[in-house]
Amino acid sequence: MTSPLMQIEDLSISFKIDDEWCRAVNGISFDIMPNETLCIVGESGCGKSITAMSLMKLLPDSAKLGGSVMFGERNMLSLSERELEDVRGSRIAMIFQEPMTSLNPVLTVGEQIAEPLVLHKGMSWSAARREARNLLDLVRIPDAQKRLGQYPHELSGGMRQRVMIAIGLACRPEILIADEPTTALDVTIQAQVLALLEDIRKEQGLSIVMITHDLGVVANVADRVAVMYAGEMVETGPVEAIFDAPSHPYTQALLRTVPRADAAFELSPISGQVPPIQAMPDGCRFSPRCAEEHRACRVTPKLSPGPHSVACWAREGAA
Amino acid sequence: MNDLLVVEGLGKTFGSKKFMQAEYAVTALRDVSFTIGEGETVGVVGESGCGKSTLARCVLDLITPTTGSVLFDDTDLTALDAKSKREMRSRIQMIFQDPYSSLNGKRTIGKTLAEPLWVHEGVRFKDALPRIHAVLKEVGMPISAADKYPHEFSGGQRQRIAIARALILEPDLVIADEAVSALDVSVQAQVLLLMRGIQKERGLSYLFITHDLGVVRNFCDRVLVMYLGSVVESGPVAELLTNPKHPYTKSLRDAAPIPDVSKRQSLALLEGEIPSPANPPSGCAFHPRCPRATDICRKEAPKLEGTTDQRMFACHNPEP
Repeated sequence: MTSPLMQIEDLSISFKIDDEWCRAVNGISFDIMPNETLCIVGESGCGKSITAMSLMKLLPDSAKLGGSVMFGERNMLSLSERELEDVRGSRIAMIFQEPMTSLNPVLTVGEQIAEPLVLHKGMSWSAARREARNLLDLVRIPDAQKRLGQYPHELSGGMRQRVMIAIGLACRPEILIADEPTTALDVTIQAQVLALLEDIRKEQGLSIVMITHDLGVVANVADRVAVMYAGEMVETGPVEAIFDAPSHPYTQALLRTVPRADAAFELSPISGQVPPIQAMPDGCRFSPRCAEEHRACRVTPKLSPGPHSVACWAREGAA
Repeated sequence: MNDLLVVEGLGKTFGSKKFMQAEYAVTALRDVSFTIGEGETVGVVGESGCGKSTLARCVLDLITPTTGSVLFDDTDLTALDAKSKREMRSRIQMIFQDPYSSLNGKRTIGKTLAEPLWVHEGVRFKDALPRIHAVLKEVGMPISAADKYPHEFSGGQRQRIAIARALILEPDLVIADEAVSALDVSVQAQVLLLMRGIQKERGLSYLFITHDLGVVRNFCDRVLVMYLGSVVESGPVAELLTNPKHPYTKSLRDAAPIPDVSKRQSLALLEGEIPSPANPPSGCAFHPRCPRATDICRKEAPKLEGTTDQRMFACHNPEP
């Protein structure tokens, strides 16, 4: 049994809204294993992105954090900004949805890839620039030498996302967090970028935490899946278990809303919407939209033990 | 089924010829022909930059097409004077992708919904209220929404309001340009079902522009696949997606991830990216990325042909 790379225990994130602390993420626990792709999936506003941000403590000071994010011996949540700088971008890197806004428009591609190498690895700019060329080859950007001198606006969306990935990989991180990395791309380009990430994960042996709302993407890239709803983790398990035998009513309902290109079937929407964080229902947060009922729904259910775990009173083994 | 819309040889070239500047021309749309029957939903798919949105705008004459004609209910929209064009336009309405920017944030929903009635029918706000309330109910919104502002609603609710605005003039054709792309899947399914229910109720037609083949498969009757400004394949949805003839249609289908682990595959990779319409490749525009390309593809552009007018494709070496 390999030990986890990162252990997240009872993580909670609260924000103050109208003088009241609201829990955007409510006590979630999960592990990130070495060399795996973990997908965190859920609708907008369910806390996927801030969970990902908190793994690097990339949240504003106004956020109140609880629980722990253990990376090796260290709890990321109790590190100082200085200590965090050693980890961020070097051992844990992140790529975002919108490559145009996360790249600096006034720096060349080469400078942006070289920067983390100079900052974290203490390389000279000329050595870093040579390494940047290798990284562009790694992310399969043709004509790398010419691209190094170009600015982000000269690249297409797919190329920009490859540059983002090159920056993320520059310091050979152990964990790459990818927040909706292909959402803004066309399907054909999305397929290219997903294949690239998968190849790189195998070659470099890193772990990828991918945040996405697209269950099609999840089915194609994930080893393990964590389904989030309204700031809580409602189901986790190996990708086969989640798709072949979804257990939580939310996971089941979500799968029935996805239009598939290979078959026509009656879409059945989930009524209502994700509640705002100021007005979270008591007990199970999905209960107001849930088709099933159990006498214990007013009490918050916990994830059941085991590799495929679910937080629902109406399922056997739930606690 | 009668044809509501008949588009013939529609083309649009953007360009300029200025003093002391090099002349440039970008052909965004090239010889596009199709029909939409009464009560039918026709989808248009393709990557960004393939001309989907230009097509929608040309049909509505929001952009004046360079060539071709748009027959709506047997009237050529491109040949009308401004006044009759405006009258015809009340029968074709549009829904846009981003409900955050397509609704005026400084106006109440009621005022937004009243405007088309004032412009087209001269109905005053007070007299418009019963119709505003009726259309809000039809899209599943409470009538109290009329007094609120767009920021008070979620994305899905705003898209319902945008649909209400399109419906209030009782159009025969609604053009939806990526109308559900910005929504979460659960909300997307709600809006798609709403649009289908409205179609059943009112018998209207949709021109449905999207990049999502899953949505096409579950919402459209027929589909046009576009690449670099041209239609490369068209036909009934189920048939076209099960047995695509054009290699581009096949690549597009195989790149769409299916939420099913048993169908997990390396998403078949289409190399490269869509070329710039300012500098299109010779012959078939798809040949630099096509796995089936041969010599003739580099020299000669294939024509859109088919055995029936239901199923057409433009390819020298179609898939078996």
